[in-house]
Amino acid sequence: MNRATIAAEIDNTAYDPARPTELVLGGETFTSVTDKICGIVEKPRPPRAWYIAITVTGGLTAVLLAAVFHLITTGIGIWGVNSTVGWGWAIVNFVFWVGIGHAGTLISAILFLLRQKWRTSINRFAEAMTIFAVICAGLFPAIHVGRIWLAYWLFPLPNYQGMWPNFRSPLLWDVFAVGTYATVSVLFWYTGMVPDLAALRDRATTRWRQIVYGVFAIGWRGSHRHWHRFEKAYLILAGLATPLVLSVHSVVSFDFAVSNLPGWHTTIFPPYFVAGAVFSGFAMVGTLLVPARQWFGLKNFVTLHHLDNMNKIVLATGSMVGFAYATEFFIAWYSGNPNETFAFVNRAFGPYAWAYWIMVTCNVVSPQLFWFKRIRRSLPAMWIIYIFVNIGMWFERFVITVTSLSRDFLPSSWAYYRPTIFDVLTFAGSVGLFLTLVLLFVRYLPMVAMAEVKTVMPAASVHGGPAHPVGDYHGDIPHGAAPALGQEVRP
Amino acid sequence: MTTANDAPLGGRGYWRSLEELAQSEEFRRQLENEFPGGVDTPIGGVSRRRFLQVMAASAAMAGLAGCRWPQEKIVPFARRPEGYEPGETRLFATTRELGGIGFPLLATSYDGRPIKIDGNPDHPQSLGAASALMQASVLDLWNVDRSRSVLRRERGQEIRATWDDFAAFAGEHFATLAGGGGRGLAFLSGATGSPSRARLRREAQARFPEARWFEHEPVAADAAREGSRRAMGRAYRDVPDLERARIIADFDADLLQAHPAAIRNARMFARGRRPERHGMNRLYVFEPGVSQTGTVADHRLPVARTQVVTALAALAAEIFLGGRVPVPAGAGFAAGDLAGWRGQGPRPDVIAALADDLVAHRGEGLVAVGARQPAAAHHLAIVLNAALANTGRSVAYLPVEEPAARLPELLRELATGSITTLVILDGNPVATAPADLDVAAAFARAGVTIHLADQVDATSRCCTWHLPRAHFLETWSDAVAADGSVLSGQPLIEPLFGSRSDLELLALLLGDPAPRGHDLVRATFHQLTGGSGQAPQNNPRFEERWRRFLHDGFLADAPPPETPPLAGGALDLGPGPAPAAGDLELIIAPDSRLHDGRFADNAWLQELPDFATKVVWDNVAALSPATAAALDLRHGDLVELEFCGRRQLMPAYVLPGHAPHAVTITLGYGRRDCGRVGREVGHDAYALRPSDAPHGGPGLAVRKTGRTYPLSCTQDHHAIDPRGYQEREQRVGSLVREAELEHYLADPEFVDHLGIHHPPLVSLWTEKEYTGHKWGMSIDLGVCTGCNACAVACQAENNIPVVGKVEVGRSREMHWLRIDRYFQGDPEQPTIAAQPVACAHCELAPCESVCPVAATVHTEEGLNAMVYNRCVGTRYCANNCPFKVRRFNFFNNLDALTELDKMRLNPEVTARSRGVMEKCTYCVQRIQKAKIKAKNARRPLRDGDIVPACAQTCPTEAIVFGDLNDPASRVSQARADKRSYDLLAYLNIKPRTSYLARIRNPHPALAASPDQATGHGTGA
Repeated sequence: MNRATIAAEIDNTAYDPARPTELVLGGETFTSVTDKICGIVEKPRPPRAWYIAITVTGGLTAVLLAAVFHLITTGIGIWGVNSTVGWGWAIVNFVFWVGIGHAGTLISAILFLLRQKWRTSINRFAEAMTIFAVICAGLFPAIHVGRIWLAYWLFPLPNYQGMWPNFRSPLLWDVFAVGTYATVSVLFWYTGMVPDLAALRDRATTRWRQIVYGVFAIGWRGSHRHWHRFEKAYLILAGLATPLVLSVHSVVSFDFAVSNLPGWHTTIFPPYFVAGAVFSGFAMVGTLLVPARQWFGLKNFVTLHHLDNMNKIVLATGSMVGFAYATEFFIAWYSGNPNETFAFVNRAFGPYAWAYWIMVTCNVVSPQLFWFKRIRRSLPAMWIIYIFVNIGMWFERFVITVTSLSRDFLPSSWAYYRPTIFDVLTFAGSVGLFLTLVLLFVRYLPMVAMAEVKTVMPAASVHGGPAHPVGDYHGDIPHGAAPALGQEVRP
Repeated sequence: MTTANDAPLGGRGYWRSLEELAQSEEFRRQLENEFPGGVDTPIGGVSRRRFLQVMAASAAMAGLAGCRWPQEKIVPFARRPEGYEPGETRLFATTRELGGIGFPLLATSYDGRPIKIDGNPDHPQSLGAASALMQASVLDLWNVDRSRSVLRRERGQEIRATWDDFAAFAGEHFATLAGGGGRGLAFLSGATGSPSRARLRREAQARFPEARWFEHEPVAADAAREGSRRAMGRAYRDVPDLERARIIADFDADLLQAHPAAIRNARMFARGRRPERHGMNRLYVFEPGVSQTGTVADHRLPVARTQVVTALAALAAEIFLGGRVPVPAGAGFAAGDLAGWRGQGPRPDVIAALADDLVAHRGEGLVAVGARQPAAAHHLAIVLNAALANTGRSVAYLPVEEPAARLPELLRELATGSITTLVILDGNPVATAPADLDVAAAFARAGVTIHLADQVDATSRCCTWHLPRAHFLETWSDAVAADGSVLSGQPLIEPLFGSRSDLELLALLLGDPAPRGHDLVRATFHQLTGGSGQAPQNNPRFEERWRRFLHDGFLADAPPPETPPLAGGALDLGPGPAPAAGDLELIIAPDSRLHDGRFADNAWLQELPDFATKVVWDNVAALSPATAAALDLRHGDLVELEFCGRRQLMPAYVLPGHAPHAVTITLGYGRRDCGRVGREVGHDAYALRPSDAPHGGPGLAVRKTGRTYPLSCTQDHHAIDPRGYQEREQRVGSLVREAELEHYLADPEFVDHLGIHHPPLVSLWTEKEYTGHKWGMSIDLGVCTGCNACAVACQAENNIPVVGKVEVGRSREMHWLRIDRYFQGDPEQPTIAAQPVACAHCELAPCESVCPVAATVHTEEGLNAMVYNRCVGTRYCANNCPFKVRRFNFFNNLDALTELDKMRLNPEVTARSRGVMEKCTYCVQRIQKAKIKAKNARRPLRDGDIVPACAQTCPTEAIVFGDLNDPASRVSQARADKRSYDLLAYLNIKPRTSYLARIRNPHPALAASPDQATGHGTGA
């Protein structure tokens, strides 16, 4: 990203209550939106950079597969976990990826219900990222068990032993929470994509594109009845997904909070984990979106206004996380429980102090820079802060998981945890898998929700002007909007 | 494979293979080759066929009349012998010698396979307990690297031979030697008290009158013999009676661990240690290292080895010069001779208090001195015991053999060329000789050297004949226990590799072509019980006595120890007290696990944490924190030790409580000549050991190399930061609760004030009522010495895998029962506490609620059961276990087992595969067995019917197990004790294992101030 492109950014972040912010810039029309977004997917060959990128990420995915193969054939012992620290990087990565998976649903569902129209430009991307992050997250609990081939025993399947899982265990709750979340996220993402898939189908010039997009467009013709049902379904799914945003990470936090380990056993964990999840999710969306809008020419759709809003959310959730850290310390002291007190003193000043202070620097200090408007609007600055937040949130999970375990009740069993090369390779591989999926997504699917973006464009307004807020799917969609889409199908 | 060794069938020209028909070169080679391919392959152990043969034979013998009967035929069962139940374990009394002392043992056999060793409960020297070393020795039987064949060495070539080859050679060679009266013949062996060995030696002396006998024992008690000779006119060994001793002064004697009678000592010491019942004895310990005896001491003073005698002389001066006790007649010195010693040594106040105590408890005191102290110290201790009227009451003496000539004399003889044939009956002198003796070169000067050894070791490699030595569970033997009683040793299995015992070898050399160990020991028994000549074949009365001897494991009528009068030898204390803070002193000690190195190939012992250092798979140079600071050394620094011109590298270990200005190293490591378990593990301390100072001495130089060495410890895995150190200090007081006796008497409920302060504990649910049995355990920390016997018992009973140094370094040791060791207070003179920790079977077990697949659940009797085949290995239970006693199989530990190893697995306990969690079960297999037994006998279970492995072998009876619903059971009573407390009770987990607080009994003049008397912990 060079200075020239930054200079070319149009600043639409100013807030004027009299005049709604323009969410699509550059005088885009319905047709140009479809052309631009579909054009990325329809190019006969992706750019060379895409090939280079997918080679790298595909290679990392291969590393992941190799590491998992070695793990399954050899045992958990190839990792650094030990008798005292029973959970290491695998669980850290699980919580990290689940956390990242939170931004999608938050943007899609909660912002949708709150009628935050700026979400339309980024929701598709964020939802896709959510699903890919949940895929990465789901991998780790499955492979971290000692007998991987029996991991399915965590599901309540009828079996000849007449054995049910233990419904008191938070790990079982995890199975349900993450499973539900993954299902609803995929449904939500797919449902929202149906009109756009239909557009791709209709524009397709090759046979296989027509078939593949045709199958996934499930017969969408853009009729009024289709639109009506689509909107109802989308609304219901948004309603279903909204509590999940809060529940998934609450349940994940129960893995820790329900135990009796000092440093884990705290009631603050559910809200603290949810705030952290939204924080890390937005940071990851930003990490990917800032370069993507540059490379794929989406600046008119993902404007500085969008990024500014995201940065404000990062600032807010980052501050919540910082407050949670402070509260933990206060309660550790206020509880009068010496084991609890030591767990936190040990975090900050014990053998893992380096990890703790990386976490504080990245999660608490760095987002505070977003108080400055200039930094909120500077693409390089925000991108660097996103990276910091990603690192910091990974370390947060590391600090919680490992430091608490490494020094619990009996000093005789205190131990230090060190990851092995296989821990590192597995994590790097999961990043590779995530990025591979993102690259395939930007190549084969519309990365901006065209149908939704069009509803927030001036052209969608019945009065044809930007002064009238429109497009929140609540009866004020102009009758012309849907046929307009339909007209595009045969150029 | 063609059956190349079969004789051809008649003359009819039948051929067995096309190769034979063709008479090919290859076939002829195969015919000539005595050992066709595969016969000598060591990997994989004995073949299945051979094992079945051996097993069938053993089982057949096991079926006979309660004790195994020698039968040399190998036949499969056609009919089951009467009384033999397949799958039922059988117990046999036997014995093993260590350093000339026999230990009474009870071996468990399962379908003909010895799988476990315990103490013989009927013998007063064991009372059911056995040391860690004895228990682990069952593993040596199944070692794949045992020697499997006779080897002959000719011109540097190792040639495989057979016992028949050797017998043919020996018959001729020794007949020639006998013709010359045995001139040129020498025997070398370790210390032994075996009556059969003595008898055969007498016979050998008759046949070879000019043969010489030498003894080599790396850890010997020569000074004690010399001291008793000076004091009482001949060599004696002390037999302390700690049941009667109220005041015990232990001068580096390690009465509870290294002493020959340690097991009984520990039991008797513990009986005098229950404040509720018998009052309390008082133990003073002066020692350089941190011994287990020092751990339980009321006053422990770390003093360098050479300063111990100063402390003893100061004590004698205090007693005799105070005028309260006269110097007895025959002491060999006058009171005035001690004038220069009064007030010398460390802490004169403690010595004065000890003198006070000993004088006040005349006849109820004991002064004991360790084997590595000089003869003068032993002399002085004998005089003190006599003067204080302890002799005959709390200590008596047992006459011992005058030691044979030692290794240096043998080497001198070899150098002169006067010895042409050397027979080494056991031991490994090449590896265990002092560094200044070039044993290998000397042995080469004898034309014929015959070495009987269980492995092809360094000594075997420079001998002309190597003969495989049978394990003690494969042979007949006898021995003398620490109290002088004769023990019987019987085999449980045929020799796996055709090995023979030292007795059989001696008989072979004496001209018996087919010696049978059984007949040799039986003949000795016949002579011991008053007979002469060979044992009668058909004498029912003798037969009954002999069988009783084998069944009981010992002869009941041991000669009582004596109380010989003082003989008046001169006391030689040297010129005067040595300066305390002289230069650095080296202390060379036997290792608590490998002893002198003979256990180096024993994986259980290699992975057993040393009590003080918690280091496994290594030996260290231990030194006190102040000394380390003065030398600028840290934990794990590799240092070069230089002593008497020899150098050796060792990793430094900063050990709180070690004597200042001294460095302790232990023997037995760094062997290059043993099997793959112990090869090149640790550093060889023999390389620094001079023959004139076998226990070390002043003049040590320590140099930093600048390198560090990775040490694997099961506790304190890494150097601790100040904050963690401080926290540990704060918590220990609530984990290991202790008080001084006066404080305890004033406030019997002191334990309740030491835990964390918490609101009343309530449950959200109605808790389960246990109406049937309710198993529980109590561990008395007041008497736990941390001797590790329980840890090995648990390992043997429960098939606990060994994982190796690297895995322990990653905190992945598998021991179900660990012994936590804590230091507290001044790092130079800390109090030390041991606390065995295993699964506490919490009633509200935190592990159970978090397991997603319900693989760990409660039984109706309140056991926290682990369902291995349901476990998927999330490790959540281990994370949520506040005691961190759950052990995870990170790799498939079963893969490491050889076919031989699998023979010694306890079939009652599931062997766990990879990815499964495991932990203490309270020996659920024993609970079930006892219940079935009681049910079959139509009687209710009685307290004591169920004894877990750890409780069974605890020398101090610190561990008690039983039914908490039975108010009369010992465990209920222990729990009702005022000293009883639960670990981490504030978590409301309701552990079923509780602890009894430790009460120390310091001299009132030395007692700490009240607020120091109990560590007021703030931990859990």
